[in-house]
Parts: sequence; C-alpha cells; structure tokens
Amino acid sequence: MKKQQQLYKGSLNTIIMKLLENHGRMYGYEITQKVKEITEGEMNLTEGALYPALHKMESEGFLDVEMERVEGRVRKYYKLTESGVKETNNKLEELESFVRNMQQIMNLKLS
Amino acid sequence: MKKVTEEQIKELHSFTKRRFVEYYDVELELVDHLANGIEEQWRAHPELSFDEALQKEYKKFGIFGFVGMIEKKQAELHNYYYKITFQALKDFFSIPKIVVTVAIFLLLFAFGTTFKEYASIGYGIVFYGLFVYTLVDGFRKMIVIKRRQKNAGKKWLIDSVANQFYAIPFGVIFINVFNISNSILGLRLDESLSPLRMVLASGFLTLFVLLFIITRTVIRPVLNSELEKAIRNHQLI
Repeated sequence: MKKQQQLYKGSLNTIIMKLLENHGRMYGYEITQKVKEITEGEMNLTEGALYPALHKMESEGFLDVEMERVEGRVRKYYKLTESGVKETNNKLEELESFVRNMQQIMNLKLS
Repeated sequence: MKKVTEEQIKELHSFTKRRFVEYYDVELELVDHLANGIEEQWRAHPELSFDEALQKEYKKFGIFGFVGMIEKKQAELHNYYYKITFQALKDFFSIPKIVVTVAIFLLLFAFGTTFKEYASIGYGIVFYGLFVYTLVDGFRKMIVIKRRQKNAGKKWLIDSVANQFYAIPFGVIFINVFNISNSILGLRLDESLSPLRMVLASGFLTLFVLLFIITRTVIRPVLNSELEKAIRNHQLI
C-alpha cells in the first residue's frame, strides 16, 4: 500500500480539484477526511502534502478562498474559480487518457 | 459529542506558535485543522485528553512537523514565481514583444559601436546601475513589509516570498552570472571592446534589462495583489 501512495501523488491536484467540483467549497480537514472515506482508507492524503498543494493552486488562480468564523475558530474554505473549473476538466481528461493508455499497456499479450 | 473549547483554541494558537509557525494565515488554518482532528478523535475515543489527541494529530504532519509543511508551501510559491518570471521572459522572445527585445539590444549595440571608447564604462553603468537600484529598492520594500508586520502584529506567508522576489530573481541572476558578466563587460577603461564582446555584452545586458522590467511589471504587481488579498481575506473575520 505504501508504494501506491507514489502513484496517487502525481494526481494530487486533480483529486483535490475533482472533490471541490463535486462538493462546492471545502476546508482542508474536510478534504483529507473525504479522501479517506471515498478510498476507504487506501489513500492517505497527508497534511504536509495537502496544504502546500492548496496554496499553490490558490496562487495560480485556480482556487478562491473564503474565511468564516466557525465554533470559535476561523475556517478557510476553498472553492474552484472559473479558470479552476477549466483546469479541472483538462486535468481529468489528461488522467482519463493516462488510465486508458495504462490499461492498454497492461493488457498487451506477449506474442 | 466533545467539542474543543475556546480556551483550548487559544492553546492551539500558542501550540502552533511554539512550533515556529510565524505566519498568521498558516496559523489560523492549522488551528482549525487541529481542532477538527481532535474532535474527530473524540468521536471514536471520548476518553482521550485534549493533549493526547493533539499530540496524535500533530504526529500526522510527519517528522518535520509544521516547519516542514511551511517550507514546502514556500517552495511551491517560489517555483510559481520563477515560473511566471520565465514565462514573461519567453514572451519577450515572441511576437509582439520581441520588438522591444530587439530594440533594447540594438540600442545597446549602437551605443557601443558609436562611442567605442565609452562602451565598456557605459555597459558597466547600465549593469551596476540597474543592480544597485533594484537592491536598494528591494531593501526599501522589505522595510515597508517589516513596518506593516510590526504595526499589524501579523505576518503573512506571502511576505516571506515577497521579501525575496521584490529584488530576486534579478539578484539571483546577478550573482550567478557575475563572473561571466565581468569577463564579458571587462570594465577596464584602457581597453576597447572587440565586436564579438560588444554583441555578447549587448545581448547579456538586454537580458538583464528584461529581467528588470519583468520584476517591476509582472512579479511585483502579482505579489502586491496577493498581499492585499491575504489581508482582505482575514479582515472579514
């Protein structure tokens, strides 16, 4: 399972963006929990990787942030910007063609 | 269900500060993250104490803790700003901006060939002048940032990047190519430049001028708007 993490790593941004596309706005902790829930614990999105990735996408203009006071603390919500939505679609297309190609390679029979 | 109290939120703030989180925006997000994590643990194990749950949550940040994460964030930001710089530089070598590039080059070259005996010193003035100006101006900006931080009592993560990028990548380029430039420019008054060296010097200085323009027209406006955004976002709460 450890090795698998490496494979997920390359798609980290795509995963985050897809989640935001489906759920509207989310905060950091929520994202880690959602990933755990969906993959039933298979993918462990670490805090040390999540926040830098969010920050980067924010400065690239793909994410917008909203601050809100919740239960005595401040919560930072992330959501996709217009260019973020476009980027999400591009990334998903890229990922889909990658998966398709990998499947084709894996299915090659030795002749 | 057990909830993190306001008193404990305060403790989380000092916990992050003690672990060298000096940026207010990072601190706020971490406090909320830790509080969520602790509450999540209490859902399954209500018997856990606040400190136990906190330690468990902190461990998830890995051996480098918050500092490791912040460094990674900064590295991402640096890469991003270098990327914009490079992109902007590329733009100067494609239509229509290449006209500006060629014009700068020709101007420098024409100066060198027209005033042969002043070529060396002229190029030197452009080179060192731009560098010193950027350095002084960058330093001035740094003081402005420091003063704002002191008045507001808050630092933003973007500040750490801004501090460097107000003068860098200009400065980095300067230091890295210092030796090459010196041999190209050859700041000796008694020696006139050969045509080849004139072309090299003009080309090199053109690149230098372009970086100067990019730092001022591309990098700084982005940094300023990011800074304003950070302040604005945190004013709403």
